[in-house]
Amino acid sequence: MISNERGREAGMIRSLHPGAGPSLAVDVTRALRDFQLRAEFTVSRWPLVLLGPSGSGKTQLLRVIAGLECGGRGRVALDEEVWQGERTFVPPHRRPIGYCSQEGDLFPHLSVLENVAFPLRFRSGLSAQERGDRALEWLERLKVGHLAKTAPSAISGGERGRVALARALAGAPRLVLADEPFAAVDQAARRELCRQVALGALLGLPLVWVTHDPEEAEILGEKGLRLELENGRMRAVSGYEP
Amino acid sequence: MTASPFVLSFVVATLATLLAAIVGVPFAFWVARERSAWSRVLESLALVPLVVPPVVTGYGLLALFSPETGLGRFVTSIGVPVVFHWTGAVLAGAVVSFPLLVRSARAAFETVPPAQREMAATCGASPFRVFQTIDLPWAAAGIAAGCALAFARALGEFGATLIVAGNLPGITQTLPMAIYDAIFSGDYDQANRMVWVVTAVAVVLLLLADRWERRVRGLRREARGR
Repeated sequence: MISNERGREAGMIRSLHPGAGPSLAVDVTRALRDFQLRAEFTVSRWPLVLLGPSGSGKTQLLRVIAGLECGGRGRVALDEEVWQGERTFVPPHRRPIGYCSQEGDLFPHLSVLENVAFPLRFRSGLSAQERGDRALEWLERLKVGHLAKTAPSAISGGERGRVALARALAGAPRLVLADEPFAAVDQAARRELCRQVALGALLGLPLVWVTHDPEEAEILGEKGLRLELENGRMRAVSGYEP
Repeated sequence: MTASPFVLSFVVATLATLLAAIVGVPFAFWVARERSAWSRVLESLALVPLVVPPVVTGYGLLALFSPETGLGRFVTSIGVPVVFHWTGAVLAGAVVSFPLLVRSARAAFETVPPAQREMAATCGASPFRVFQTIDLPWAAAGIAAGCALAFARALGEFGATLIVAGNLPGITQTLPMAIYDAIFSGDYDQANRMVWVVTAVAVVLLLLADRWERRVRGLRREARGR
C-alpha cells in the first residue's frame, strides 16, 4: 500500500531493514542528462521494488549496481563484498548477479535453451549436458519449457520476458536485477505475469525489480520493500515495519 | 615446387586469405571497438593498398624484403625467401586483400549491439569470452564475406605479385600472369580458358559475399525483436 508512504529523503534510510537475506548497500551520485541521480540505501529485505516514472533514473541505478556504468562516484557493496568504492571497481562479469533488461536482449544466434544455459558456461563447472538440464528446469519453472528449442526471434514479448528472467536466474546469482522484464506486454497481461512470477520463481530471492507501474510494484513488493524514484531522487519508502 | 598456374593460384590465394584473416580479424575488432586517433591512423594505413597502384605495393614489399635488408636476410634464413618465391605471391596477395577483409569484418563487428555484449558480461563472460561467444558469432557472416572478397582479390592479384615474386612459369606464375603471357604470345584459346575460370570464380565469390553480408543485417533485425 502507498498509504504507509513516509516521504522520507533517501539519505535517511539506513539499515532500517534487518533481514535474513544478503545486504545490499548503495550510495551513488551520478550526473545524468537532465538531473542528478542520488541514491543511498541499505537493504536486506527482499524483494526490493524500485518504482518511478520513465526517465526517473531507475534503469541507471540498476546499471550502476550491475557495474555497467563506470563513471561517477559511489559505493556499491553486497554484504562484505565491495563492488564499487574509492579505489575498487569490480567489472560486471565478476559480480555474482543476474541481469534482466527491458528489451530482454536474448542472444539471437542461440536457441532459447542455449540462452538460459549461457551464464552456466561461466558460473558453473557443469558439463554441456548438465547445463542444458539445469536451463530446462528454469524454463519449466517459468512455464516456457516448451520453447527450449525455439529461436528467440520466434517467441512473443511475454515469453521473451520469461526467458530473459530464466537466464538471469540460471547462473545462481546472489543478486537478481530485473528492469521491467515485461515492458513489451500490455498492462493487464503484465500484472498477471508479475503475479505468477512473483509467486513462483522469484519468491524469497534477493531481487531488485524496477517498474513504473504502482500496481505491479504492489504485487511484487507486498512482502518486501519499495523505493520510489523521481528525477533521480528517492522520494519515499514503504512496505517495511519501522 | 612446380605447379600449373591454376593450382598455384588457388593455393596462393587460399594462404593469402588465411594470412589476411589471422591478422585482419583481431585488427578489425580492435578498430571497431577503439575510437582513438591512433586506431583511425592505423586503419587508414592498412587501407592504403586498396588505393595505391599494386605496383607501388609490390615495390614497397620488395624494398622491405630484398636480400640486402635485415628483414630479407631473416626471412631467407628461416626458409621463406619471399622475393622471387611463391611465398612472395602469398604475401602480396595478403597485403592487397587485407583492406577488403578488414572493411567487411569491421562493419560486421560494429553491428553487434552494446546491449548484447553487456548482457553477456552480466552472465559472467570475461571480455575475451564476450568476443568469443558474442562478437565472433555475430560477425561470422561478415568475416566470411570479407574472406570471400579477399580470396577473389588475391586470386586476381597481378602487379604487386609480379614485382615481388616475378613471373617464373611453374614457380611463381599465377593465373593473371599466365593470362598476360598467353595474350602476348598470341595463344588466345589458352587465355580465354583462364579468363573464364577467373571470371566465374569471381562471380561466385561475390554472390557468396553478398549473401553473407545480408545475413549480418538479418541477425540485427532479429535481436531487436518484436
